[in-house]
Amino acid sequence: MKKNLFKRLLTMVLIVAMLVGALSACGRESKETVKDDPKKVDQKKDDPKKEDPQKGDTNDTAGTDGWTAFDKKVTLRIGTYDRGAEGVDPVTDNGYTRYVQEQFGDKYNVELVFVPITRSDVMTDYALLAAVDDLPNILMEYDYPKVSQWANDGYLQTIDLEAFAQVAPTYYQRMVDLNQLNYTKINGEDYFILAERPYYNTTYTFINMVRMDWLEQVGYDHVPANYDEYCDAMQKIIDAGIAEHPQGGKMITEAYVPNFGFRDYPVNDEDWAMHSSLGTASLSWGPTKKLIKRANAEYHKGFINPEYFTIDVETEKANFINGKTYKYGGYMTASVDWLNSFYAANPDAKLAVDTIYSSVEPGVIDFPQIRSDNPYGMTIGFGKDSTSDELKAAWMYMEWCTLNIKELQSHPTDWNNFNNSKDFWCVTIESVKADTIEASIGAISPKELPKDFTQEMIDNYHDLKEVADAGHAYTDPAYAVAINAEAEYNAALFSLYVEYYDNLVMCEPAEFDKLYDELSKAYLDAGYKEIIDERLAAYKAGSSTKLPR
Amino acid sequence: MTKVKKKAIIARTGWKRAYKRDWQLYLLLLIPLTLVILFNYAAYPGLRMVFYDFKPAKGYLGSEWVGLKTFAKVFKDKDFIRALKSSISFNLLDLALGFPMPIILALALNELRYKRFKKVSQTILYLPHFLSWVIIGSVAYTMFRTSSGLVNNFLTNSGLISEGIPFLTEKWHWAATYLLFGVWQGMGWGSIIYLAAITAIDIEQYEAAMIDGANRWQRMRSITLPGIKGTVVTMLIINLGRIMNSNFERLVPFGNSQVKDFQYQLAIYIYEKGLAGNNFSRATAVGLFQSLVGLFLVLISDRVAKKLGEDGLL
Repeated sequence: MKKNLFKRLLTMVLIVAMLVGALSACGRESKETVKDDPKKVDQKKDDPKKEDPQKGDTNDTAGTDGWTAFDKKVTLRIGTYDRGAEGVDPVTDNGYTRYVQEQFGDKYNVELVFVPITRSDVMTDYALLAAVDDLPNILMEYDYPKVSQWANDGYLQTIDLEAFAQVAPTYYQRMVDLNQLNYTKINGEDYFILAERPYYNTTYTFINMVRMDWLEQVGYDHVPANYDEYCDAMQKIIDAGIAEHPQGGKMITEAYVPNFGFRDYPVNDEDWAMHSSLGTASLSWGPTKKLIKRANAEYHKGFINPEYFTIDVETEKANFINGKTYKYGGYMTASVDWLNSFYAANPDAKLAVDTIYSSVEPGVIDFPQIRSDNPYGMTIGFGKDSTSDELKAAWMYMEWCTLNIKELQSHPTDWNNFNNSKDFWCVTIESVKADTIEASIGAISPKELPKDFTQEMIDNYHDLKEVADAGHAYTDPAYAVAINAEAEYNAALFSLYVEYYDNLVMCEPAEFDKLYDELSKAYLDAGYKEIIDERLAAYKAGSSTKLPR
Repeated sequence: MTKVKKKAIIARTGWKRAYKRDWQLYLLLLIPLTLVILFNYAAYPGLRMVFYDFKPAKGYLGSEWVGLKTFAKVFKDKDFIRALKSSISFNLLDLALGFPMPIILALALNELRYKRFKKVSQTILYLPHFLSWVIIGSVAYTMFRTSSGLVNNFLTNSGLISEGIPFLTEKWHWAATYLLFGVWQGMGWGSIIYLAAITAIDIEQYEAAMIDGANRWQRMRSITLPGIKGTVVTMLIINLGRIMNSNFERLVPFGNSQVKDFQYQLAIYIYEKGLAGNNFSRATAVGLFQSLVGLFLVLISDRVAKKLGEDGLL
């Protein structure tokens, strides 16, 4: 009888444990949301304390002096890029996260949770988080079309900039000083806070490195200063048997078409409004045709690897490290993984910083034109279900990062995170900013390499600045309304662009023009026409930034 | 008397009595039942997404009702037709190539008499099933790249070919490579069920056939194959239900822009035009369409199997 009772009890315990285990999958963090319940929305609106985070606490003093620790622990969830970099601590737990938790979180009774967002698939990650009502409190993204889509699709809540200024006066004042208040609105309502991007119109942090030792072997004592020299050097490198396909190449992984140099100057305003975008490739536009035509010529000359369309980003990097390709580029920090690996694999090799003039070809690219970055770094929105305390904690964190940025940027090796932990402190600024540009570049110049690139990087900055000062650096339009067709067709058009781009690069040169026209028509019919029409309408309605003159 | 007996039987099988007697068994049954309800049926209300222009952050109440517009859009989309054609073609080819192979393999393994060799062979054949498609795709590119792949290097260096074969960069070659990798990956694992079915065949039939002078081939044809016919039919019905399926994990690692004509199948369509485009309604509509066609095919094939005198599946 006892044995029977024991068996029954054991069965019961096991069944309950399994059921609870299964049902736990259906659980959700208990959190009051206002979704789909208008009564709750009204209640929230009736409560001024809830509506205004700045009044959620007892102290009305602006800035840090007015901050006190929250009575009840606040969990602040921050969407953070996860780039899948190898050999670094995870985004969720590393030196940076522990440091800010100790210095900021513990002081104000805030638990900081960094939510990993796949860098290459930001929109899907956020869409899935939205689908399970689990959006972070802070959502960040560089591309304006993406954040405007979030605002339009209800991911974000509107914000009161005055309240923000009360909690984070330094941050707000910087936005005013940098003239960023033009970018806070979508459909007439404030959604965004903008981070700083120092020297935004020069893109000086991105550097292309070239094999100077190869150039010397084929008789060059300098980096090719124009496209003729570049082609000559490539051909000589091939002929000398140094590299089979020195230009290498990789599959298309982003919709951005670097066709600024191929554009007329000044570019037509409406063309710019329709086609200049990071979000959707501008196949069918004249400058894109010129760019692909040049790639077609390079492919047939053998500069490009004939199987470039099977080479992914990591393989491209590995090919440079393994001495198979002439050039590779990336953002500079004190420690750049691919440069470290390159010198470890090729201790006798010599690298040099490439010049922006190497693409200049009379009649095609008469002078360099560059895509300047946006006059802001991250565009930051706030999850629709964030409570007033969470919103306040988010603004406090952003202000605190702004005030302590030097400290946050000065632990590159201890914290061992990707890109000097930039994906964390980008909530306030996009790069290290010192008193002078020379010092700023000095801070991001790669250290402990056989060669110091600081001076070459400074020279490169001055070249870029010259281009910018001449008015040849400008960015894409930002729309204050969501471009709905872009959200609908973007992903499918990207896939189509990759296919068409490769077909055009590999086609016979004599067939290029005909094929370009044919594929452009198919691309326009697949949704691009709808996108450019919508963009143009928004531009004409005054719902976008204007082309700087 | 009869009435009394009937009453007694009813009393014995009454639910209260049955529950009281076997409550542990019913509780145990509750576990799989709950799991099925939770993970298979609880999601069904979500299918109404196909009637909305669903925005995750707005929920059903905040999203716009569009009726059957999503279906109309999908069926008019030439990319969908392209993906549908490729999916059906490749699944039929997969079935034609991949379905008989595990049966042949099981028959061959069953004939092996040296047990250690048999076991080692089985283990080697099962292993590919445990490799992810990402790894298989990466290995495939390393081995079959046109200019630098191991296979092409070997063939070129041996003088067998003058230029590399575009195994993965020309669509017809790609189709053959893709299908053969599918067979390679699945045949070992797929043979397990047939080997199990073979073990259920009465050994005395083989002994009798041997006494009658039947050779191996005759025994295989007349005893083994008829013995596993029921299993073969069941597996065929299950596989027919997958004709509309599409394996994203397998397609992506093998893909590149030059083979998109064939690689663009429903899984890719659902991802590109559905999930990646934040169009959950479209993704759900295509998924529902796949499931309904799959169900229809299973029912039809089950009917046909029963008409042919087999047990069928349902």
